[in-house]
Amino acid sequence: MNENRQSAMRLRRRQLLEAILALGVARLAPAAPVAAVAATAARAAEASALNGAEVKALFVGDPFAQASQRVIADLNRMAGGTISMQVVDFDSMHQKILLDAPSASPAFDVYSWEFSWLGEMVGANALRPLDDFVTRDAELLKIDDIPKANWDATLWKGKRYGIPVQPHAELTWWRTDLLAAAGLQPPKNTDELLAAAKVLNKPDDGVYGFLWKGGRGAPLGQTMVHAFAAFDQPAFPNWQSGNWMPALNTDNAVRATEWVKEMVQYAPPDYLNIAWDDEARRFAQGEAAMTFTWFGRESFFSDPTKSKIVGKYAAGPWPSAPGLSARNSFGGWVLGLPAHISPERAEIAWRFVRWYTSAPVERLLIENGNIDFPRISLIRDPALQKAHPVFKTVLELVDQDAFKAWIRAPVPEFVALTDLLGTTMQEMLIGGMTPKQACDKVQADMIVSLKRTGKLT
Amino acid sequence: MTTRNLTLGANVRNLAVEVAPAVIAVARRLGTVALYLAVLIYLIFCLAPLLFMVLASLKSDVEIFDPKALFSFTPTLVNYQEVLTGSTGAAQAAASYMGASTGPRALLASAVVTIISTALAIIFGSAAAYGLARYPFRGSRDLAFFILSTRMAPPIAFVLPMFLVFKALNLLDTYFVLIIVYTGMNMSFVVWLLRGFFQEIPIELEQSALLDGYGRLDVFRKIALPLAKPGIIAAAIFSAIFAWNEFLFAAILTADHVRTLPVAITGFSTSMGIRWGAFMATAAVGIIPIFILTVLLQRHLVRGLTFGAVK
Amino acid sequence: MANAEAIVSPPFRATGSSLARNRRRAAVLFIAPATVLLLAIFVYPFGYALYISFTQWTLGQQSVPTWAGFANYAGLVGDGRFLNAIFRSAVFVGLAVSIELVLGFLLALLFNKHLPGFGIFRTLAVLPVMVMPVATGLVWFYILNFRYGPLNALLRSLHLPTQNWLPNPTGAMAALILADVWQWTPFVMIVLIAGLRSLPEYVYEAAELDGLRPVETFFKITLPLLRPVILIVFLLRFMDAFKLMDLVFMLTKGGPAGRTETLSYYIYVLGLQLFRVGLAAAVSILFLIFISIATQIFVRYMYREQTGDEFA
Repeated sequence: MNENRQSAMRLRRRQLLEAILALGVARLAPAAPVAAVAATAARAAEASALNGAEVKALFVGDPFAQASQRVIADLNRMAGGTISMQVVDFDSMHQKILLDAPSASPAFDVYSWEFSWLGEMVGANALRPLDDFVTRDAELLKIDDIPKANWDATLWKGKRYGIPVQPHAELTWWRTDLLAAAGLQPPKNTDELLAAAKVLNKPDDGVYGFLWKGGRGAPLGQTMVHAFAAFDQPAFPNWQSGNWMPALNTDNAVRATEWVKEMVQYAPPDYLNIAWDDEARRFAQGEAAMTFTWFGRESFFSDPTKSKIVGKYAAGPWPSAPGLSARNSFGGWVLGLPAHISPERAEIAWRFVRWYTSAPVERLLIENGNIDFPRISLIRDPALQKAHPVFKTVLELVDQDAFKAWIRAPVPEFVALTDLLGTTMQEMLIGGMTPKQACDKVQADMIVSLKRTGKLT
Repeated sequence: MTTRNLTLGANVRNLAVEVAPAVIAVARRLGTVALYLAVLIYLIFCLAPLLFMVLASLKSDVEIFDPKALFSFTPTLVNYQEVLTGSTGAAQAAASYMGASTGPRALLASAVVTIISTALAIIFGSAAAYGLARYPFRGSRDLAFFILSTRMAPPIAFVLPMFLVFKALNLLDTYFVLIIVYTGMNMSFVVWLLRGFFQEIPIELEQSALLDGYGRLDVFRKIALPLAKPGIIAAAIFSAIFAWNEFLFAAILTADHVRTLPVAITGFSTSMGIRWGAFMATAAVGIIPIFILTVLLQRHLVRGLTFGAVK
Repeated sequence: MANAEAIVSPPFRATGSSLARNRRRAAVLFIAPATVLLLAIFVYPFGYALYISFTQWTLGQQSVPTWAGFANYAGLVGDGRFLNAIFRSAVFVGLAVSIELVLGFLLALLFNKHLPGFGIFRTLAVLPVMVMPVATGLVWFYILNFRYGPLNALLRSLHLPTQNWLPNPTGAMAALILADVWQWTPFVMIVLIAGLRSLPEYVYEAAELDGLRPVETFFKITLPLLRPVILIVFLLRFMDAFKLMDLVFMLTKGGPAGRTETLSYYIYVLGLQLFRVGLAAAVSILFLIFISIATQIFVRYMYREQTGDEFA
């Protein structure tokens, strides 16, 4: 067809223009010293990962992908090839990986997948096990530098399916100035959090106690799962031994739900519409004394041109119920290869993944907006810690081994669960049912769902 | 002016007669003013949200959420820069221009798909509309209903089967597949809209032309089409808008090679939130080509040419 | 008194078999390309969707669908979420389309005037339709936001009470309708203007000769002639409003607590978030059946007066 010829012409034209631009960029290089330093370091670490080849990547539009887009020219130079990167939203990423990755000739070489999708991906035969590559290049990978919880979470039934590229965790954030003024210590458990929210809730002054994510579906659903975990209630306690009975209306679960219901009293009136990083933005505007948000959002708080609370905040782990050990959920993205990728392309894709997730490249991305903890060496780095104080908090959690994968079980049912929680719990929050009724309903609905897919009989 | 000697009633009557034309003129002027006022009110309603969209696209992400920074802020072009080049730094913007995954490449892809599918939908659709309007046969009503029914189902119902079909045909991720699908989806709209317009045309015009010896195709091209021109323009505008803004099929049926604007914009929707500034900037940029197209086509949205010769 | 019908549809009977053949050939020539294209694109996907609706298939958990007969459909009968979705769709479509039609018609009359500047005004008024549906949802989400939205800012500056629009169950539906009316009324308006402008001049000249006043002209000539266009625009809006999904996705996500979860949004959640494609297909088929029946009723009413007039 005509389009083949057209695209060939376009490619040639593009290569010519790129060559010209490369000359121009070389002259512009002095204006970007940071990128240049990182570039030389990265180049030294991994000479020509791509060797002139092109790699096609499908990434979700998260900070790591957006940071990559900003420095794509540098990345291409450093990798010694062409990175053709398509960036899509969360739902599209999920759809494409299910529809395209299992096929005999996948459209992309590298896909980003979310930790909690692992079970589903393996079940759909979407990902290629990477054990052969990992064993071969173990030294280059520097596995010790990857936080243990993240590394373990890429295993399914003994096989490795990806390399973490952007893990993130949800932390508690609070306003140090407001707590100090009220004579409070940073809250250490759920009771203290509730008490602090009550004291600090001053709607007449325009400051609420707690910014709560109540958005319907996944935002509220995930928050509820975290709350259950805080009260020591995993959603599917025995799934790993094959018993799928959910535990969503136990005493712990009901207590967690009641705690949530009490917490939202100290939230802004429109909390049911707050989803994702709205809470971070509004926290940066000083709307509340505390909030939960992904730690990458620290960039909202630390930029003086954007934030009203610079220097007045601190972070800590999600609280647990009194007497329980620290536990923090984590989620985030992993890079994997499609199941039926050809051996030649697999080699190219693997070299790209190995290079892209290495510390020097991740460092470049962090410097360009991706606040993240893929590599321990980076969160230990004093310069980066100075620029992003939250790294210290995360480092502590990594050292304490506080990140628990059981909180967000990597099973397909997890999506159904968050959807169910997100809808039923919203009903509970607007007064439609009591916490106990809501928990009973979620338990019943989840059982129906599991029976339907044959996980329960 | 010999009114002094007449009665009061006559005085008033005379006054009224003199004043009346002036009153009517003022009333007509007021009526016109009222019309302009009504138009203005509606336009404010129409354009205010777009104003906020543009304002948001000129703000940094955090300023968007500050209620006090609604109108007082320092405008920045960083969102547009990011959308059009995929970078936020000037040097990097220049360097990555040709490798950018958003912006110009997406605009081009969208333009190609939109123009071709709209043209095809109008060509085939107007012909079918005319045939259904003027050449009814047994079952033509059912056929018309079938054509309409292709517009009834929610796209999600079709998207997975279509994905499987085109995958089997190895047509995924080509311009061809999007063009075909969009032409099909616009077809029913064009057919039904234009069928109504063709039915509005008095049948005797065409009948007399046929009696005069014109061929059927000529009657279609030279009489029906020009008279239905406003309808064709309207159909073209909205078909183009649909193809330009369509997301679901573009997202599922394409991958790396073909990337239209709505798919490119979703990259700003992260798993942790939406990058409002960039999103708004892309939406604003996306309107411009369609707006230009509409401006060009609107000139033809005029009453059909008269046909004194045929009369 | 002139009568529109008499002017435009005089009887004319064709005779002769070669004429009939000629007619048939012309009909095929005109209609075939479009029909073939539509059959090629839609018949197989529809058949496949129908097949899937009889299976239990969750992508990612099953690699092949398993036959389930009418299980999906039977399950929907008592499904509260499904019935809620139907109700929400009915409310939304009923209100939104009615408002758009009435408002659109009035605006068509208004904007159709040949006053200076109205050409530009018309073009400007079409802008809402051009905005990407997801962007529309986002913009209105922003405008109606309790804390930082301009609408509440305006109310505050006028010392009126601010409203918590979106988390409020009625407010959320009202917001959805408002956003849809904002985006699609111009569509109705433009199509009706096009309709008004394609009415032939001489009909009006004849009416004037017959001494009709403007009001009578409007009701006895314009309106009847416009009927096909009015009805088709109603039909199109009816179908499109039922299919609306992007706006719900961005504005309310079906919330609060399902108060704005329309049928098409529910299908999206089922099919592309939960990947329960079997059930999604079943709901889609029911959706299709309902819309078909509704439009059949409208279409028969619309064309009930069409006689078997043959054309040349």
